[in-house]
Amino acid sequence: MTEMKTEEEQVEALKNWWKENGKSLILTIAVSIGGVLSWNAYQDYQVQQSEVASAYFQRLLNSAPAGELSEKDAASIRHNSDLLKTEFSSSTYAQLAALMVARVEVQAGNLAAAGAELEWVVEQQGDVEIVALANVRLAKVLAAQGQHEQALALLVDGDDAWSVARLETKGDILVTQGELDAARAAYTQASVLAKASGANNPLLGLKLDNLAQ
Amino acid sequence: MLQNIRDNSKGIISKILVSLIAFTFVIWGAEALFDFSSDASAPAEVNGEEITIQELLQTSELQRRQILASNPDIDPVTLDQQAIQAAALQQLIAQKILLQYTQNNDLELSDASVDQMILQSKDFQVDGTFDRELFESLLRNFGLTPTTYRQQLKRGNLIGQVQQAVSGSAFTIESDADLVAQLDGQTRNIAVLTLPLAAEMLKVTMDEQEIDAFYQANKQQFKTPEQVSVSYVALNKSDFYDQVTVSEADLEAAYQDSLDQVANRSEIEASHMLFLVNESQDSAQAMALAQTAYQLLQQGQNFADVAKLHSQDDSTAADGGYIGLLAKGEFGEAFDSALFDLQSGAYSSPVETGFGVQIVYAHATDTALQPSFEEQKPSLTLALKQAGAESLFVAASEIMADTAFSSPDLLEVADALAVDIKLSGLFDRRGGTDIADHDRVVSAAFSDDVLLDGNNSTVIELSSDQLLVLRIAEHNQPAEQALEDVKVDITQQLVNQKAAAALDAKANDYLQQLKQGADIQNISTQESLDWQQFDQLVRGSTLVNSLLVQSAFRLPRPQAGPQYGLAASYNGDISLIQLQSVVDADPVDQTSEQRSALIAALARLQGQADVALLEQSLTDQAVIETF
Repeated sequence: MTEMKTEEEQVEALKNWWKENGKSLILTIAVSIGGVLSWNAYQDYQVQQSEVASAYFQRLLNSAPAGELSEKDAASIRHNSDLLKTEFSSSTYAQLAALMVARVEVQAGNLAAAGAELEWVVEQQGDVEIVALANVRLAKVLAAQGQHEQALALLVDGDDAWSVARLETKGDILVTQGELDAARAAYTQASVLAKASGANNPLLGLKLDNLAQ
Repeated sequence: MLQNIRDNSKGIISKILVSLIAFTFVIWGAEALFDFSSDASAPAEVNGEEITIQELLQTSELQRRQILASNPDIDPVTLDQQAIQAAALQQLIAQKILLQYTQNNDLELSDASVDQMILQSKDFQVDGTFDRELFESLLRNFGLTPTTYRQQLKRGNLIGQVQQAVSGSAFTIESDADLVAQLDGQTRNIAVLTLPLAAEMLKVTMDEQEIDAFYQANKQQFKTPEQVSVSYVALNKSDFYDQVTVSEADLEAAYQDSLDQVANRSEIEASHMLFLVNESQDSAQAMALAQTAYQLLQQGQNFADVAKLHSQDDSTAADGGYIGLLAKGEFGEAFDSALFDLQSGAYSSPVETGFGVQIVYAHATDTALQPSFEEQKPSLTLALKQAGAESLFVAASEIMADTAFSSPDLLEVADALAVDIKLSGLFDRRGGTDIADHDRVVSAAFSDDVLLDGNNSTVIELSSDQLLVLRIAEHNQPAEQALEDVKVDITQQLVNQKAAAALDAKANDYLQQLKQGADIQNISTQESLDWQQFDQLVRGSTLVNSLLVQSAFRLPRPQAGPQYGLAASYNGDISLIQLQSVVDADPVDQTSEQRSALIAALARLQGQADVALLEQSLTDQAVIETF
């Protein structure tokens, strides 16, 4: 215990302390609260933006049933994708939307337009999974337009899970080029990788059997 | 300590410190300083994020209920709780990985749209509108609160957005569809000669040394299974029937009850007459008309005839006022009390109901169908005995549970219940006959408590009126069997092995000959077997066994001459295949429906494969720790 003080002295000491430090204390608290609030507000804003993008994207998904798309559905997909690309161009939703537009264009026979959508996705260099997926699909679209070399250039080997898809697509292209041995090697490798991860790919088996020797 | 702080809290630094601590508490609460959310018993961690034990328990409970709901025959006791938990954990990990992926990509779903989904879900609707009571009771059934459900729905839909985006955006290139159409619709012409295993088995010779050597080397394989027999005390409700006396008076009372029940029917076949009360006819006028009709009935006229002429209910008048079977409550209280108080075949006086003035008629029930007292006696006796035995049975089952738990053997249990101890036959973990046919008995007999610790089992419910307590009588560990006991088995195994090896060698030898240009007829002559010709075999053919079809479609296309191959069958036979020709289908032959179905199916397959690859890729990169 330090020396005892009377109550009055204590109150006096408190008042003095307040005079010295009161302003800076209040300022500190105010700045901290302000900081927290504006950070929260910024976060909320980000979430809100994502929610709006999500709503556009959900509309797009709702117009994309399996099977052949109607003119109306195709128009709705294009429209919502345009909205996402202009208002939320760097969002993942915009890239997912572009993947869907690519499907619309392939179905409409516009391979060049489909390729452009997929190229746009790759150029965004967003999420690696989406880039990997878009690359494989772009290779298919390029190959379908006869641009085999550009397509093969996209299918560089890697040790990620997407290798299965790249190798299978590579095999498809090599078959059309008449390089059956190389195609068989690609298919076989894809098949081995797929089996290792427990994936079931009936078409791969069909194509591989077709090259039996 | 606090005093110390106060003592020393003079310097500006300690003052700032204290005010910062206070400030922290005010803004974030005490939790900010002590992380209470950390769960020591978390079963797994995905990229540093815990899966909580609550999540695991909830998910495995959900899966358990789903299994039971889709397989009503399964006894819940026999479900492998550990396997369910392991599966639930895998599911949670996969979900967590995908959920983190959605978060890393800033995918969001607004609370409003989640609410919208709940409101629009058909599961929670009654007559097309959202029903809060139904919603909450369904959730309770699955152990969820509205908040946890909304959270789960949100997560599920975010994951769904990714999966749908990846799978739904898959497409089919026309030329790929052509290729698949060609291959899938391909037909092949083949000839087949099947070499039977049975013929080789006849040629196999065996000697004793071989059998003995095999026995010595494989003794483990021929062990008897672990077996137990149990002694048990069974309690049947029917054992108590004798203790229930059923007097003649009881029986008569019960018979009367059953008659009353018929009389107190909740449904009556009814007809009616209606006299409308509306703008053009007040209730007094309606009542007057009703009275006229009522008098006609009193004079003995047929109800249907009167109704046809006088009833103002246009929809039934033509049928003599016939309504059909009516349940209580359909037409309001006034109507019910008029109708349900009527004797069979009687009509009411005019009554005012919500519809106007009505005369109702209860059709006669066929009293001849009522069984007589004598006929009913046996079934009534049984029913009374069952009811009387119930309380005795319940009391005895409590004694059974208590004594079984407290005593070291079954004698006391048997004494207390005055029943005999019985002995089962031997059975293994797969069960046996008689009481060992019940899964509950088998799992109790092989439980650690009973098998290893030698305790009485708990009370096992075989059915609602049969209970049982058991303990191990005899326990046979797996044991080696003498050669004599297993000789037949061994001989069979060895013969099979040898025959299969011989057949394989022969088939491969023939295959080599054929590949080198041998005449297929030579083999036919040598084996006295015929080649069977199959033209235009398709992939899904059921004309020959599926293994043979598969093998035939794996052979390379014929170049200069036919191709040859082998196909094993499930029964051990081996077939020689001669592939003569391959014809690809022409994609042009597809109808436009077939074509679009194929394109859709291929896109779906591709989409599923892409989603699987995405999940695989994310899982490969995730740091998953299970504890």
